[in-house]
Amino acid sequence: MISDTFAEAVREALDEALCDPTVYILGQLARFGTAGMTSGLHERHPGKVLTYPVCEALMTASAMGMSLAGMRPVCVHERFDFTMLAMDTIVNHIPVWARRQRLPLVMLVVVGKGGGQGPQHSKDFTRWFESLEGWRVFVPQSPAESASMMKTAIFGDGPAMFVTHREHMKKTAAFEVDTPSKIVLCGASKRHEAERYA
Amino acid sequence: MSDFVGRLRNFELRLQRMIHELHPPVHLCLGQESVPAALHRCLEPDDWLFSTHRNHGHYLAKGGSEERLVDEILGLETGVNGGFSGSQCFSDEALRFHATAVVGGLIGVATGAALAVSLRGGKEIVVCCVGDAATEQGVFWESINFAALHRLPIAYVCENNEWSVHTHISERQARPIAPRVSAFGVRVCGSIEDAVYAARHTGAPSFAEVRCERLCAHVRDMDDLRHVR
Repeated sequence: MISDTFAEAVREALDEALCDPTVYILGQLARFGTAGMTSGLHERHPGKVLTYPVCEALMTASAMGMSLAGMRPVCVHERFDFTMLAMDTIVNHIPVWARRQRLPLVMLVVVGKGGGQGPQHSKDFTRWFESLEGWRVFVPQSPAESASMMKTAIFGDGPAMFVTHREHMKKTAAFEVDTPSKIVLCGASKRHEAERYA
Repeated sequence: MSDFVGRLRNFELRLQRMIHELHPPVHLCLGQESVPAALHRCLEPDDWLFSTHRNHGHYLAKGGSEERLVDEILGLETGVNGGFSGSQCFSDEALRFHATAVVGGLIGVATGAALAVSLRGGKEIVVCCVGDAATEQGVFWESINFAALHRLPIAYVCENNEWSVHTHISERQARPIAPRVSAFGVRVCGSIEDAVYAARHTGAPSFAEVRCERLCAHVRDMDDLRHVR
């Protein structure tokens, strides 16, 4: 039997979740694959993968609004860095509402990897969100774990940050995620270009 | 003066008399009652109402309880959010009412709620109240574009009192608001009632700007520096 890669495991979890009428995927490019995690989902679930303009603030806020109105949105940010454009919703609104009522929603974020991703495509903000009241942060470290965590995140009662790393997408076995305690520029990129920074 | 406006005016005057006993920031809507009065006339129980820091009138218009609101402002457990939120950012899930203390903070959220209503073919509409200053936030224009693009059932209501705390609109905006909204393909209506009617019966977004005059300080008993240049 051929094992699923990390990206395939996430995609299968999303595929199953999308059968629930309240689950939607939101993203600027989610229709086109997101490193394999959303490949084919638009074709398999017409109308359930919503394309957004380049407006992270609205996209993230609208995920919160959809959740208030009874949906379970999965909001895809192609790079963790881009969530910074939506910080008012992420910091000032979602945690406050989650304290008062059910607010299921998932932010599926990707940390970039080498190849010169640079200081604006490879930062990992996991520690920030772990220290912010209101968010549950998932950092899956194997394909199997990614599938179970994704279902827990989508069908839970509160906001979830689901952190994935571009460098692990094709892995079929467990791996260790290197989560820096300090948010560093070129974080993931630096790991792949160690010789350049040595 | 209608029964509702009289009740709202009395409610706010009562808060103004006790303002020194209130700890949280309290923004009264004295002088701006025409907006809540219109919402009171035309909103249905299933409609969603997203509001601002100056929200007491909007909340009572949606059927909110005066007692639970006062208790919230006083920080009591019997408040609408158990005293957690205070005056300016409380919500009442059962009434589909949500307010925020961050200017423009719920515009995208309201737009998302309208998207959810549209996706499931609901009959209700969303009303998103903003002040004139909230239209200066980028997310306002992101939302107007998205609502027009997807024909969302939402009425954006701009309560224009011309002042952002002490700063006049002439120092903040180059052009009038309504023509800019119209350019995005959102129907501009002459009244709140027309905007609500349009959103309800066309399922498409609408916008109404209401001119009003704030007859009290921006917050609590803050010095009013509106006419200082």
